[in-house]
Amino acid sequence: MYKLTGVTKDYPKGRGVVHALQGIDLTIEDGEWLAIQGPTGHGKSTLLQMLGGLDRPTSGSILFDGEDLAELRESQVTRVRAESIGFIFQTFNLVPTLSAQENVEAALVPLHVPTAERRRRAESALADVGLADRARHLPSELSGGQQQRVAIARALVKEPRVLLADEPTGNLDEGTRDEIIGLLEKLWRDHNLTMVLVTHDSMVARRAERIGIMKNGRLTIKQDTRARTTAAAAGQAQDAPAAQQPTPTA
Amino acid sequence: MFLTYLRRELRRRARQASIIALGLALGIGLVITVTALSSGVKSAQGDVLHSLYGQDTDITVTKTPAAGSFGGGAGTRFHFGGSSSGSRPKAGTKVNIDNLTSTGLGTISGSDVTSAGKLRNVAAAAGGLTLSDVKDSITIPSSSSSSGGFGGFSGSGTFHAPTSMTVDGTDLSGNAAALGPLSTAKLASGRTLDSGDANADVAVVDSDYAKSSKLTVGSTVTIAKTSFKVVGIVSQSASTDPPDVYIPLARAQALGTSAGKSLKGEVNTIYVAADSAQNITTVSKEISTLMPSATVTNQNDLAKQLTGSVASASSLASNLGRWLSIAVLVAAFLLASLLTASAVSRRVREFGTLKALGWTSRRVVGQVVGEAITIGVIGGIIGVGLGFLGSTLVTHLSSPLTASVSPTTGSATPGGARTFTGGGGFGPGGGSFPGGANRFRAAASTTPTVHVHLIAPVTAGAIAAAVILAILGGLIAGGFGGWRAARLRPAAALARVE
Repeated sequence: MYKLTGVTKDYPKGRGVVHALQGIDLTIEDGEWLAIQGPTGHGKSTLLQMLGGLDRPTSGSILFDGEDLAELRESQVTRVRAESIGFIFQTFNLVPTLSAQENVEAALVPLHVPTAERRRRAESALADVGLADRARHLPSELSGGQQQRVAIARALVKEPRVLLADEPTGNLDEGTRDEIIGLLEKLWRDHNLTMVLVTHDSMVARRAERIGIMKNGRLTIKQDTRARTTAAAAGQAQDAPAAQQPTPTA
Repeated sequence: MFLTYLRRELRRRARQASIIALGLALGIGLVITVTALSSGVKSAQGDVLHSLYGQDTDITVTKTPAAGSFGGGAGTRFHFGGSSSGSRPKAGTKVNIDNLTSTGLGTISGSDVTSAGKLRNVAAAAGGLTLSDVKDSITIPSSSSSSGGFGGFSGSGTFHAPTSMTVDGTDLSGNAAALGPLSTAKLASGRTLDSGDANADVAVVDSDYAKSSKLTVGSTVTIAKTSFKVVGIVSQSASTDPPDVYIPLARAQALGTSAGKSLKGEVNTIYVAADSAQNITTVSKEISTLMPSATVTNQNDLAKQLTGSVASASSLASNLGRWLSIAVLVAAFLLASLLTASAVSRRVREFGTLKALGWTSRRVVGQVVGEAITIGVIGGIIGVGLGFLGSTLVTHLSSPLTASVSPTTGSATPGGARTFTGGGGFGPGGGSFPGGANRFRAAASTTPTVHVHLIAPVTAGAIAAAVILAILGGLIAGGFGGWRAARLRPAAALARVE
């Protein structure tokens, strides 16, 4: 699914530069669940944005099904996002003026799905996350957990190939966190998704097949429990522990 | 989705949207009101000018009278018993005087009318004579007093006022009937003059004069001792001081005199219509070249001579009014742009999320522009309403406007120095006459004043302009905000903390 080679990302800050990503080499297989852990400000979300084409690397390549996202035009990357990538954010990021169903439908608008089918699929996606009876509610009328469910429905309604989740349980209490992670796990299995989940919560990360640690802009694979670990391990020569680097100031 | 999102978003920031819409409405309403006011003032000016010299007349041509040629001034000679020699009848003889004379304008040859009509870009030309018919009955005194002067002497020197009426010799040939003062008159009874009356002793009388002189259709009116049959009565605005009687030009030329000379083949005003408004100035120049000694005046010249509240209103509308409405409109556009940009700034995370979902920049910008245009259209609708309200208030609450044209000698107003109802004060010794019911007309020393009611019409053009301004306001505001939204990368947008 993904092959990252030598990906770096630098941000100017005053007179200096922040090295948010430093030479990331990573391969993500189809159907894999990768969790990325690490302290705040070490590049986890930046890496996720690279995977989702939300930003461009300073150098390196990001192959997504053989296409380098770094080289595509903006309209092409937008198209890839619309068709193949679902996002879930820590703060849910629902449009406050649209109902739950309309928020889910918003993900189908770029695909020019006819209105009737759009509505049907949105209803079905909400039913999958257990919110069929909340379709007409505005986000302000939903709890945190319910809003995140709507966000999950929105991410999955277009049947993406990849689900990128940035701290999906960060704003939720423990009980709701488990609910949401349980739901994500179920949907990951049921839809054969490739999922990359960024979290600082070890309890959440533990449930993934593979765990990577981001520290100072470098990625180290800490744990790999995938069934095809043995075969993959031979190709994981680039997942070496990071060298000592100065702490990013971003 | 587009309309749902638009509707919900405008409802969410209803207060801000209302402020933007009201700002635009104010600007647009002001533009419409000022446009209506300008249009109304222009129309009022046109009414004034048309009432003075005819509906289709674009240019009038007159000449300065030669010295001593005034009818009614100190140098006028009466023709006693029709003799032009001025020889004095026997003392005690009663003499009836009825003279038709040119007042205040020099004479122009009739051939000049034909020449003017043949000029390029001239649609029509007509000649006219504005004359004064003065009647008096005097008894020749036994003393050796002068033979001239107004008024009658009767033994001990008691004055009595002669009567006079203004007479317009009207050109009835071809399409000349569309020019001149009679063309603005409304037929009240009978018929108007036509080309068949060119040499007939027929007359059309002004309704006010007919009322005061007890004339009806079929009556006769005596001009220069000739009886004219009244065939029609017309009404015109009294404030424009129309002629009392209209007779065919040829008859006026045959009967009238100027400084003792016959007016045969002569006119004292030429009315000219250009073939288009754009050619009025060109035609004016051509006539000036043809008749260098004549005074050529077109509507623009007369408009400049207009004084009174019409002129003030015109100046107010075109200067202060126009600039004020432009300033308010610019301020409204600026406010709309700033508030829209501010609203976009608050929705950066929202737009970043939509881009993450695969919404293109164009779709996001389209949403912002759509919202702004909707606010603009709402503002435009309210603005049109405000414009109608403003113009209605102007129409109903404004006092009648006054307009005056300086009656300088040779002015293009028909009859030159138009005659007006005066209070007397004439005669060899000065003093006032016991005029009673008689109307004595003298060469004008007063400025004519016309009263017109200002109507400020809202035209379809003004409404169309309002719609365009509303959409433009929305486009500017939305474009500015949308541009800001489009520039952001989704990652930067998502990193923004709301």
